[in-house]
Amino acid sequence: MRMKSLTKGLIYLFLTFGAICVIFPFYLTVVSSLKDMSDIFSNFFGLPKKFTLENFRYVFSKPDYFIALKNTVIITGTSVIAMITFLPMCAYAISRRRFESKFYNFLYFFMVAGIFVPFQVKMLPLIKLMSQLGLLNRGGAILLYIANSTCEGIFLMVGFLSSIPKDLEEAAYIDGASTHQVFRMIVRPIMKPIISTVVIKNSLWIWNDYFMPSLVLNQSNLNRTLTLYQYSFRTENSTNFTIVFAVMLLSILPIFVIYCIFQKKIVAGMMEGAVKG
Amino acid sequence: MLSKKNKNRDRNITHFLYVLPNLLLYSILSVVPIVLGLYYSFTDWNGISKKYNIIGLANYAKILSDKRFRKAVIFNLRYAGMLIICIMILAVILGLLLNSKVRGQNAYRAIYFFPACISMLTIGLIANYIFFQGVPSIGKSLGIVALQKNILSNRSLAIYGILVTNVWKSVAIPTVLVISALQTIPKEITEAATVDGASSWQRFWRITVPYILPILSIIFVLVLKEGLMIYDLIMALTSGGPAGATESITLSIYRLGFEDSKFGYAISEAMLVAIIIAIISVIQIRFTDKRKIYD
Repeated sequence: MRMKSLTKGLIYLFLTFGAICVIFPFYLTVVSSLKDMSDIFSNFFGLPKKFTLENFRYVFSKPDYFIALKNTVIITGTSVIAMITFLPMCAYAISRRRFESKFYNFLYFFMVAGIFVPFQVKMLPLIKLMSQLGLLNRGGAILLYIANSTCEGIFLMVGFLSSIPKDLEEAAYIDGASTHQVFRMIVRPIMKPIISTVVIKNSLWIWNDYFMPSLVLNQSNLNRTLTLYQYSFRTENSTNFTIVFAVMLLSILPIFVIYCIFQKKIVAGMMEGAVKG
Repeated sequence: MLSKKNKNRDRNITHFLYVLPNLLLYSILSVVPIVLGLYYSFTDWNGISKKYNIIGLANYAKILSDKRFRKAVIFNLRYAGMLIICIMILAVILGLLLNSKVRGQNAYRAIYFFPACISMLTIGLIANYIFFQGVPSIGKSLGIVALQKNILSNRSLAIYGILVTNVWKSVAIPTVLVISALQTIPKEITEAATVDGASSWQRFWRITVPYILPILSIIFVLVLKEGLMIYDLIMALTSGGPAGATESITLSIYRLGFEDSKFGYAISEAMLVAIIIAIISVIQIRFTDKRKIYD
């Protein structure tokens, strides 16, 4: 019995230590953003000697943060809405036709094969192509994200649909429903769980991505996403720690709020996406 | 009511319209660049000029003797290897602890999983300041010489700075996966083993490990891919420095293509890397399929 309470104690100790390690960088971000420069040099880890909101005032004095936030919301939102509009339709058509039509069966393998191709391969020609098509802007980024979600999205959704019996759909057809009605009223509602997995995975990916925006959106400051903004802000103000920390905090904040509300769903979605993706 | 013929027409048209948006976007923005890339990899194009020559396999032959590429590959393999070991061990430990009956389990989980939701770049930039300002001050007060200067500007230590940051962020999803695997272990088996006098060490190796083995193989492949394709974090922490010591494969392809005007050559490097990663992905799908049978 004493042995058991000893192990219990050790478990708590380890878990709490780990939790502190996880929280620590966030703690530093918060306290640093509330310090002034002399304070941060003499006292990096401690609480601010004198609280100041000067850093935030500086960040908010320029429109850059709001522009970046707006761009990130627009790009993430539009891409994800487009994904959950088109992907279920595409997956549905493929899943119901691939065993009767060579064309749809080919489409399935054609699209899923893309999972095996890393982005690095197409990166250089893609950017050349997009610049020729005039797509190095927000619209281009959105199209690129939709295109890049195709392979995994189709793989996940066709897999999901293959386990759904067709009886309901067939009954609706007999009752005279059109193909689109069947999809909209019967199939799409059934697909909700897999759609929410795709939403969670892709919104986190797009919101947090730096790689693709750095390739597609580096032409103009007006197109910058939050990650690009953070990177360039940091390069321009590298010696001015405290305002950089304020920007970091402001960039984490939206995600933190959403995580607090949907924590369980987000974790479940990430898990589902990781195993199958 | 639609006639049977009309119904079939409706079905054909609707289904075709359904696949069209994704088919078009995927073809133009994924397939076309790959085909173009394959073509460029046989040329000496610098990415800007109008003229270039087709040089066959010369780019590929050059890669094999390219020191920069070899350095990037060795760095990346070493990095991915260390990342796999650290994340797998830590994920199993955390998974076991977070799955045991502890009070505040949900709060612990909520904390541990949060890093998975934030941007690699943000974490990198924060960590950059910690290595610049925080770690040296700890090093000084504890008298550890290696930590007294910024380890990110030290050729041999920079890789560990990147590694620690990456583990901190990326251990969350593997941990969740381990927990989900642990929950599939039937209670009766563990209880029976305990009654039969198996020690907790024996139970771990004989019961727990076989049950989480399939998920561990998935984690292995996921982390391997992550490690081989790392880019954002390196940009935020070292930009490939000092003196190219932490230049990853992706970063070297990017720089060769856009900064050093070796467009064709950079693409042939990318093609080689693609083959390696494609093989890994095939293995990943195999593992995933096995797991389905297992369930």
